[in-house]
Amino acid sequence: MDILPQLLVSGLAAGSLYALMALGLVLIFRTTDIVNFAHGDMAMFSTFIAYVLITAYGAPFWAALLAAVAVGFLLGVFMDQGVLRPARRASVISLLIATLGVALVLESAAGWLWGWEPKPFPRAVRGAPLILGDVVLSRHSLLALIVAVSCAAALFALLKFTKLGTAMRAVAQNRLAAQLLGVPVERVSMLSWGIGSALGAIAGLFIAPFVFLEPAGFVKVMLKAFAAAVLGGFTSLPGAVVGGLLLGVFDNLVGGYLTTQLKETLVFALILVVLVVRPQGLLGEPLHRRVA
Amino acid sequence: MDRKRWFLWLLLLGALLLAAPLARGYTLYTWALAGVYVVAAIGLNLLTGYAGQISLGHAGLLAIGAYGSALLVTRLDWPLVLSIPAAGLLTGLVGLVLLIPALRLTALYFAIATLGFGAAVAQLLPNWSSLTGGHQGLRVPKLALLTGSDAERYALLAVAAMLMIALAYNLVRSHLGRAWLAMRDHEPAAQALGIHPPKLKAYAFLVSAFFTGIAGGLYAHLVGYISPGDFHLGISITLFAMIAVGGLATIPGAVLGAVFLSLLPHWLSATRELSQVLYGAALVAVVVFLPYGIWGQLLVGYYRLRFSDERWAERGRALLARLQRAVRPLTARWVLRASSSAPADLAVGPRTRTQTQPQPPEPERSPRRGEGPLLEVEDLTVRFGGLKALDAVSFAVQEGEIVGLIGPNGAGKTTLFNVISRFCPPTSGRIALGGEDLLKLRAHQLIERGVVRTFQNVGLFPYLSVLDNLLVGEHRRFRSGLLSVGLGLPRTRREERALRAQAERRLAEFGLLMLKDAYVWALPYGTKKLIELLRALLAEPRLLLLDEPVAGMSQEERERIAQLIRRARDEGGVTVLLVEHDMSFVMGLCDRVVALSFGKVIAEGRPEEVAAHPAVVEAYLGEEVPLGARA
Repeated sequence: MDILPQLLVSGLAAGSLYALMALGLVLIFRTTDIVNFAHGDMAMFSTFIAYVLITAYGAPFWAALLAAVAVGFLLGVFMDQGVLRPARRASVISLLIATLGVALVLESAAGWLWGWEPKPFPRAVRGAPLILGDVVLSRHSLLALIVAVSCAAALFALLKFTKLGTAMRAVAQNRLAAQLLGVPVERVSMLSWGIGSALGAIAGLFIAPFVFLEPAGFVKVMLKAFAAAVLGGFTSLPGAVVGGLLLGVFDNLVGGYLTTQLKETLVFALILVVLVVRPQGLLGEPLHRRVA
Repeated sequence: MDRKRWFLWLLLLGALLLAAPLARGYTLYTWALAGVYVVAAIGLNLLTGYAGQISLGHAGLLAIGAYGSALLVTRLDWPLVLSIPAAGLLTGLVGLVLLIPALRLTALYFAIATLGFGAAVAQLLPNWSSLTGGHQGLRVPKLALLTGSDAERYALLAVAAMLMIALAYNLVRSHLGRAWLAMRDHEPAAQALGIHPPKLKAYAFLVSAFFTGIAGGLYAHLVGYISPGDFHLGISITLFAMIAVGGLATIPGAVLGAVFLSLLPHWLSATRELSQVLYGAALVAVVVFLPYGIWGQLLVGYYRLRFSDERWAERGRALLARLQRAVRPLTARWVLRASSSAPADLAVGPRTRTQTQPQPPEPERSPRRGEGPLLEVEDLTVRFGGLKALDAVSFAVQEGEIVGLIGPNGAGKTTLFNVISRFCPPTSGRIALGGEDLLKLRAHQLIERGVVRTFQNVGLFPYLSVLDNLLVGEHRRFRSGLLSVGLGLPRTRREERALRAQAERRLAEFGLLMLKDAYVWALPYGTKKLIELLRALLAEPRLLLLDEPVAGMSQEERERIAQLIRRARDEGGVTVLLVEHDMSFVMGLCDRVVALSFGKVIAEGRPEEVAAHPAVVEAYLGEEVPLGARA
């Protein structure tokens, strides 16, 4: 049996979730110039809230999803207003450490509240998998793919057609000029953080059934999202989508044909190769150096 | 090191060793482990703090050092005293290989690439079990000299950490350390002063990986057992947190951060489950409340107190008066007031009024004319996409001339400067310096040919002292290599002393010696511009390129700078090409003026001719003749 079509389809399904995580990262980076190293743990924490609602209170999946999105949004807003804004004078490196500190707090708080052992997370939809020739796709994966695509489309529509989206793009291009033109820069970065982390929470909820839910488990997911964002060029939203899909497919091909043990190592090698050939990533804009 | 510093070191080491009998086994082990982290954090700080390259994969290097030394000892029966340095060297080589992509990547991408490197090593370790023993890990002999007790290991670690700290101090106090900081804060200015960034970055990677490898080796033989779990991503992040919490780009900061964060879990362990939460919260709190880190904040406070006027006003006149009675003058303002007895040309501060008597006018001297032009620009075109920033620009500068380059904003003046100083490759055209093809040279080689430039927004390095800024300008005169610098050989120290003394002499000649230890960021704008000019002049240029030397300065300061430039030409034979918007300055100083507009030369000639030229008047959009605008 030819496993290639199967690997491609599952790769795309997984990749769409990496893409969703990466979109949040890139959105935040573009508007605030900060790489959010707590992205994975924020998603993990939101997913845990959903887990508690589903398992302890019997909430339906969609209700848990809404709650997780709300928690994700609030975590993002807190990060912006509660941590980064007071630390504005600090260097970029220190801000990076601040996001890492938040990651650590969330991770250990989750471990403390809900325990460190991996937990099975229920799928969004049950039922027999869909079979199309050689390809088997679970209903959950299909839904994940659809959700990821619609989230990405909604984000692009938001950026393109709404006043908030225009403001976000303006802040991304030139923060100071946007501020001088009356764009409420603080609110825009706060909302970017909120939306970006909410996207991460959605991705988290759909990823959790594949990887089990555990406090320390989302670091690997975040590394994938970083890899996707870097592949696409860290400043480009379409790049994040392309990077995520490519990464999912590559990951699956390596796992299917070569080895499952060295997946991360080979993903790293792929990133290095891409970056050495094209330092700005696939769709990123080359960075011009200003001299004077 | 001088005798006093040796004494201090020995005292500190003695105190550390004497403290050993006071503690018991596990505490001693924790402190010894802190020693390992001190070495690793210093290694990371050299790369990230000093050279500005963020690494989130140092746990990978730590692992290479640990496994390297462990394998040398267990498989090849090497003694520890050799295997640990060898592991350091091995890791250093790996660091160099890592550098290759780093040279092309921006800092952010490099950070993420290193994150991937760490993840890759963490995955290779359990899988390459023939070498690493897989998940089971490796048992390795522990450090031992006589008895092999915990106290002895602690003492050995203390000595090793002290040695590595001394090595690090030798490096950061050398021309290499200055060059790292210079490159980190203003790479173009560093290049223009003769620093070749790829080479300096290679040194930083090599040294950083070497330190981390040594730390890895020490770790293996301190614990006596290593396994893949010891080198996970969290370790990289902990190392990174150590230097951010302690203070970037300072050695005591790395030491404090490493000791603090390796003992913190120990102190927090009473809180059990919450300890990790508190640890993370502590990280966030330090960053929010101490943005420069623990040591950095102390330094900033100290220098604020020492060099800033505003701070003094707040703290009251009593303190001011007491400090002013001190032997050494302490503030820029006071220094400049005190220096009026020295040659006054350089005694410029923003609000100084030291010179009440007008200076006698400089004797008019005709510039020396050489045989051919010193700088020849021919048919130079630079295209950015569809935009022609420079369009077939041709002009020449004769030896000993002062030529002004004028034009409205966006005319291409700064682009022209960037092309001549080799930061921006031209699309076509030719530039010759005394007959030699300038385009064959690279930015860092120009200073050896006597081409020195200043920058529109001040090309000084804010976190270096004034004296160190001047010494960066002398970088090319340092001959010592990495090894002799690290070991602090007498030759290196002589060289440093000699060049330092020379720079101090020059500073004294200009009456600025009291400023030598002031950090540049604490100085007023006018003083900064002046020091940048002084640094350029100390490099003994043939051709001096000045980008807006008097922008934003007072009338008095402008006159002083004009005098200084004229004197450099008349007495030092320096040829000057300058960009300036201030027309009265240009008219008063320049022998000839070249006017640019939209990338084209629209007029050239004597200042009055150019100012009255119809094309120039039009280019300034029907404003008054620019001559009248500010004069």
